[in-house]
Amino acid sequence: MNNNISRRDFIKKTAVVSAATIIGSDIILGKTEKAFAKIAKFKAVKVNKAYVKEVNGKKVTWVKGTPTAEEKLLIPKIRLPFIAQNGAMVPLTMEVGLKMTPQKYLKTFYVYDLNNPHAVQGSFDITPANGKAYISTRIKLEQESYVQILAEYSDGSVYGGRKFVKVTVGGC
Amino acid sequence: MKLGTILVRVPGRVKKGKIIKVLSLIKHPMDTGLVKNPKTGKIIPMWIINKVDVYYDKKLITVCHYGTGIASNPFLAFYLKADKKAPLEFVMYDTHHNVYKKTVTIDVV
Repeated sequence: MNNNISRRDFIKKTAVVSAATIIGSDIILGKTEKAFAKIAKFKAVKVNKAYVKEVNGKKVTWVKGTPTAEEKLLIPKIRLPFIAQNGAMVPLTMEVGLKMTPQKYLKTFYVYDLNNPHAVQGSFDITPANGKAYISTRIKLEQESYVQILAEYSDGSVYGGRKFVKVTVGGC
Repeated sequence: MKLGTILVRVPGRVKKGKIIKVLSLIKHPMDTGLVKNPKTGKIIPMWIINKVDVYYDKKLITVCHYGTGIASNPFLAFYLKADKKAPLEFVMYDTHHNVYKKTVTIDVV
């Protein structure tokens, strides 16, 4: 008997086997996808996508598209984890590139989460004595949401920035 | 750690005019008033720190207003311009009318 398999034969057989496995796995995956869809229906979360328009009677400017060099200094930078594993303690850092001078400085940071029944999480007033516009805290999140930071300046202008966070275990 | 104790970390010796980072932590439950006690089924009443004042050289430099969204054992970090050797005082108020205080001195060389 000839034990040696020819090259052509080998390729044919492997092609058939691999095709069969792909089709088979597709059928199984289809079932699991349906199952996942059921779970997703069961606990569907609604994420509020609205922007905060007003704070303290002042209009908030949201820069859409590419910001100019001047606007880049004014828009607050937010540091948050992409996926928060523990919703009871999500580290949040906010920062502004503008230098703190007595002429123009950052007055207040506002933290908003519109999915929370109490939307205002907190506000942080700072002065030029701080030297740098930077605050770091920890917040609670129940579900995935947009965390919005508003930066109010001493001349009355307010700029906003926001970031999306996913939460695996809620912590409220 | 006892409830209401404040921990503050500042660098030991600072050159004049340098901007330093200040870290602080306070032990506090920060109950939101929305959570039920699993054993008794009653709602745990709201008890949060709602205001934090920071004084440097007896001048108010930072004020924080907390809502219910701040995590338990609130952590706060900010920067400070170290101009002179002076005390840095933290005063925290909560909704049960308790006041927690802590002072550290910033050693400017």
